[in-house]
Amino acid sequence: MQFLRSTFILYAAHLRMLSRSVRTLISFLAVCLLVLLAALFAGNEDALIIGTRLGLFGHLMFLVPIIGMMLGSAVVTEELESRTLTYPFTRPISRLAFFLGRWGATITVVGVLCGAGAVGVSLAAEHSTLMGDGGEPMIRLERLDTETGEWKRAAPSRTGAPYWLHHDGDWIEIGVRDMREGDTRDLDLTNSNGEALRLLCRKWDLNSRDLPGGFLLRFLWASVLGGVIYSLFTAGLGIYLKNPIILALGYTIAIEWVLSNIPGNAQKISVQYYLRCIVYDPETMNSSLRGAAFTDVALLTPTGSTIRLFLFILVAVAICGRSIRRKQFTFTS
Amino acid sequence: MSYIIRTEGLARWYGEVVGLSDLTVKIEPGITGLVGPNGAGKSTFMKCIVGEIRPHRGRIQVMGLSPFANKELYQRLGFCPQQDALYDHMTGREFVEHLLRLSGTPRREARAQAVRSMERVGLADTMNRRCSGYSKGMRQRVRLAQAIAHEPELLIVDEPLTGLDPIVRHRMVDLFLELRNEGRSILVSSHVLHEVEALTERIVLIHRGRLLAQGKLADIRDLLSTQPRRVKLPAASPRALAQRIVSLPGVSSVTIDQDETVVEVTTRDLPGLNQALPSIVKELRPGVTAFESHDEDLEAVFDYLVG
Repeated sequence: MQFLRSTFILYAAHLRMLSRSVRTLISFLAVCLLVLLAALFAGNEDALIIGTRLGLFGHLMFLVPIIGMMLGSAVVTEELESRTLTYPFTRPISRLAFFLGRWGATITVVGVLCGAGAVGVSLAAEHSTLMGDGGEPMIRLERLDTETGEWKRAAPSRTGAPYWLHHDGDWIEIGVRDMREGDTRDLDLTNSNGEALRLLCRKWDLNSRDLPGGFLLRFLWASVLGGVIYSLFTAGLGIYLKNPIILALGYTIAIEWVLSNIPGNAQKISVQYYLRCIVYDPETMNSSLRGAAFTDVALLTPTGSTIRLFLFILVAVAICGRSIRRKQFTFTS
Repeated sequence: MSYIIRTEGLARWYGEVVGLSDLTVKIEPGITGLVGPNGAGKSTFMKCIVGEIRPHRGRIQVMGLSPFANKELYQRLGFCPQQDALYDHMTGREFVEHLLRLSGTPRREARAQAVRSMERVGLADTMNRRCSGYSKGMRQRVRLAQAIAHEPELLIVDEPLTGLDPIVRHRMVDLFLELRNEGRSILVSSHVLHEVEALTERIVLIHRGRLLAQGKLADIRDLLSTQPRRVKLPAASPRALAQRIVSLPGVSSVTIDQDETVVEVTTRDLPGLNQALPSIVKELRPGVTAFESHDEDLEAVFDYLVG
């Protein structure tokens, strides 16, 4: 009972501190920026493209590790740096309660931020009308794929303003006012690959603004779980290192950003692999992620992936608890 | 005799730097001063006492308990660290209350106790101000408030009077004496010796991690009887006085200061000098205005022992 009580007291105190911290503010602004980007691009892009590129790569791979690690590093290191660790450690509380209380507060904030990012990006992808509402005809530049013989998008869609093309070192203005929905105009131009170009005027296909069923929940779950794991990583490192964030950043860049995107089974040592297994649905998302390295690797089911991540959390918490109970912390006067 | 702190062959080092070396000491209840120059090992000793670190060799018992991460001990012990660190986002009262709650005190009681404790250290008027807004002296007192708030049996205080103005310092000394009268034991460390002298006669003197001396200040001074003692005699005619004193047995040197107003005598036979001086003064009438011996204070003992 005393253990739970002291854990809660430390949880509440750290939550209060985190809610006012600069780290939290920076994380919040970063999430807002990503959601804003999603909202800006969403008017001209399929929701699934936004959801996978900004969601899986921008949010899950880039932002979630940064937020988790930045806030997680405060669990022990902050008290070490400010030399206040003496106070809780000379009170009749378990050191594990100290760790769990503060880490609990951290994952609450990390969970809210990462979850908000996931929901924000998904909603923006489906509903944003910031740069076009899908109701008015858009002009799209397309190229004739020489291999497949299909017309493919060559540039983002635009509203009915004159179209400027960069061709042979010059900018060419192409008027589009007279184009109506369904019109196509072949341009007497080719791109650098020698592919023919044309303009297409069409209304946005509203169906393409729907994310696959269950995407939002899977994405939300993966984001929160990712934040929890990354925060635990720096929280644990903070028991032994004064600046865990430096090692954590090195790890993130090498493993979570680079290795996880190299084809092959090596990416299974990254957390990203397991998080993507939760989000990825080969039935609906293959087209939007064609060419991404993890589409070439055998994937786990979302449940299998979640179980493995939970086991990892349990083992890591046990190691952190043992370490903090035995560690001697010294402060300079 | 029951001892509150007991160590045997305590040793602790940081890489190649020795913090404590074979320190064997027994500390009785009451106020004890832990003195030594900077780097002597005082803070390392205190960290071992409060269980912040473990010794590499030897044994330590505080109130019969092994201190490292010992919850039972922390119920009975208060620690005021030297480092100027507080939770700056909290007010002084909230800070003390938070730590009281961690000690197991219920919320309402913790608040009342925190207020009482802040009042005791003289911060009643400013207890609701954020710690970040406190002066250095006020921060020092908040640290002390958290250490005494849960009414511990043993209080460990590291350099408590540093940075305090004379009035507050006097008040803090009174507070320590008050706590002693309540039956609490206090171990105070300081490298400013007169601070400790104002609090207690009992000292533990350590240097380079080793115990140099322990006991009552006067007893330690008596043990140093082989050491010469210095006496200053302000006089109107110092030369005649110096000439007579230099012939006394036990006197090893007599010097006159540049202004020719003070005679400084170094003697191994202070009682002999005390006995002879009245008749010399009566005979020569050199205008002696005072008899000042600085060797009885802690500073002098410290000088002799540490060198």
